[in-house]
Amino acid sequence: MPRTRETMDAAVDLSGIDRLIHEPARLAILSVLRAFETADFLFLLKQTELSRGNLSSHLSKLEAAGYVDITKEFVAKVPRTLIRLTDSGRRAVATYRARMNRVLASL
Amino acid sequence: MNRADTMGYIEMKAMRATIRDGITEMQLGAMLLLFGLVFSLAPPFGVLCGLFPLVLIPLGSFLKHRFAYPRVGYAKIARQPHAVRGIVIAAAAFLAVVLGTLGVFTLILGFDHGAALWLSHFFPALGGLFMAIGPWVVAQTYRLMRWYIFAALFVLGGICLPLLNIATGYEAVALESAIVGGLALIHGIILFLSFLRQHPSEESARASD
Repeated sequence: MPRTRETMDAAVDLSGIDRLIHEPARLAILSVLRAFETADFLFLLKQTELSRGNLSSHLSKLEAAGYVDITKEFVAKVPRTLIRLTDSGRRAVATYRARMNRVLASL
Repeated sequence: MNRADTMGYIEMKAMRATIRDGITEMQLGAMLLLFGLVFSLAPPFGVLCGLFPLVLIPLGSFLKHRFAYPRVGYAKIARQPHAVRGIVIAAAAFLAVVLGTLGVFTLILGFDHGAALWLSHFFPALGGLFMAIGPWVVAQTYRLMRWYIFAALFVLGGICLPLLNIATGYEAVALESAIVGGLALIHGIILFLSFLRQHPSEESARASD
């Protein structure tokens, strides 16, 4: 009964999904950051189409989990918030993606 | 589309957003156009081409900081060590092909006739292929049709210009560089102007709210 075995494996994989990443807005943020060494707040705002407050709140959660690193700097006296995916964040996204692919392939 | 596909799509869309402003096209276009003009009109001044990147790269960076980043934000693309290795391999392969084909031409047709034919008709095709590598890499990275077209124009120019007797040898390479550069520059300027219209700066957007 290979199908049942696959379905059981999928259920086990699904239970291990990182819920912090699985949330659509945070997944969009992490997907954008994955392609870049660093990006600023405005870039993420435009790409994810979230509101400023919403983006800020999701970034705080990701920072608390150690998935992103947030730094502030001044460019020509204008403040800029830079966001970078940490190594553990990059690993977590890769694991999430592989797991999701496995689960979807077995359905 | 599943979540993994969606992630890939979002990544690609974000990467494309960094060159939507047309500044890269303007830089490439200006560089190729100047290169083509100098080699066509005053070949002895060809060494000046080495100075173009010194002017055009800071100019592009200025345009990005002044017009693009305040409108759509700043993002630095992650380093791609594979790309550097690919460029080194492509350059080595190009050199090997140049020397190899030159050797074959001179062996078969003799040095004078072989080298002359190689330079007039084969070198432009090789030059076109070599110059197509850059646009091809950009096209593959960002999946952008216009960069595939630039790459195709280089290849076609290198083959067609000598065959149609429009230009041969170095002149053909210079002419195709000027043609593709001119097209890229015009396209870049159109993109840049449309980008400015589509993305008002944050300050003016706030003022109009």
